[in-house]
Amino acid sequence: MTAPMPSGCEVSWLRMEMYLLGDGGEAERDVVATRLQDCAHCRQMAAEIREDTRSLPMLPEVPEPWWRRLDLRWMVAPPVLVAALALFFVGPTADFPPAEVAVKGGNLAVETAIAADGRVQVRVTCPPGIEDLGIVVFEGREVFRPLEMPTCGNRVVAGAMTVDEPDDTMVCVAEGAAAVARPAQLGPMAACTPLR
Amino acid sequence: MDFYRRYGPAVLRKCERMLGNRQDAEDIVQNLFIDLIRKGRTDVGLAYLYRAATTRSLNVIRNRKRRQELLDRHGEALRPRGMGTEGEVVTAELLAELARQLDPKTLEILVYAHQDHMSQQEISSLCGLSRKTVGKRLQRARVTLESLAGGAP
Ligand SMILES: [Zn+2]
Repeated sequence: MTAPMPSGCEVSWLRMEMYLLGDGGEAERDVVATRLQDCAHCRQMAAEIREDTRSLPMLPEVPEPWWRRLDLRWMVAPPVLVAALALFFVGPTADFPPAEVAVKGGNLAVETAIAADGRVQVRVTCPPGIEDLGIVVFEGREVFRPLEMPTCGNRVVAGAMTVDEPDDTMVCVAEGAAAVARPAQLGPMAACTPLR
Repeated sequence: MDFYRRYGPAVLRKCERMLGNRQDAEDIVQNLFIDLIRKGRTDVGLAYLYRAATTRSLNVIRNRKRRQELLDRHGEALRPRGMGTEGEVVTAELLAELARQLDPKTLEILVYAHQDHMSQQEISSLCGLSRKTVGKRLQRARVTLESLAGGAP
């Protein structure tokens, strides 16, 4: 599985796996098919994959994490709302993904992005008059509060933190630090977004 | 679950390359698919699963106890079962050592380049990084790799 890559060979394990699964576009499939004809190393990769017929472990039944039981449907902002929220933003937006990840709760909207250095950026948008924000992060089955609090007031805030499981992380902000003191009781006044 | 049956084997092979151990790889794959199925995210493709599996495997490798176990094996059990040992191959054992020396993002990119044999272009689109950034990170990783090859860690 760790066979060295001869120079000139350009097919990765991922591309070979996808080819054998029938994934990927037609052009990509043609490229890999040609490599399979021309390159002994590629043929060996394909053979190793095909010959691996070990069975998959069973997937056990696992209960949902407690915070998943919260009704989070209200957090998904309809497109028209996102467009309206975008007007609040006065800072640079280039570093952030499209506003489709922005979700609103109460008077707040929150967006997240993962910067190139791996830090999580948090942008909170709120109307004038809100001074105090609370932020809480659900990562896997753990809950934590980043040391650096976002501030608000119609401006972009780049919070800084890193998480180990970005695919399983939800960031929530609410008005007032007290609001996030008991994460299980976060209600519709909190704005939450999955990191990815 | 069709999603699991379809992609599980490929992700399992991927994790096994990183961890050098079938049992640990199975744990990661089970947890990853359970989480995705629970979230209703069964629409993702293999590229996404590769990234998620890489992140989770690196988390395991960074765990010090686990890393020590790997290092204690002195590579015997982890000898590549492929075509030989020459070339820029990062074994699970070496990866455990590199985890001590490289930052997480560089380590991730190194895995894609030296274990998964991805091109810089492929890594660039997989990670959403510029090709220049990928190149710089790989350069940094190569220096560390060479220093490990040149002397005892
Ligand atoms: Zn080839």
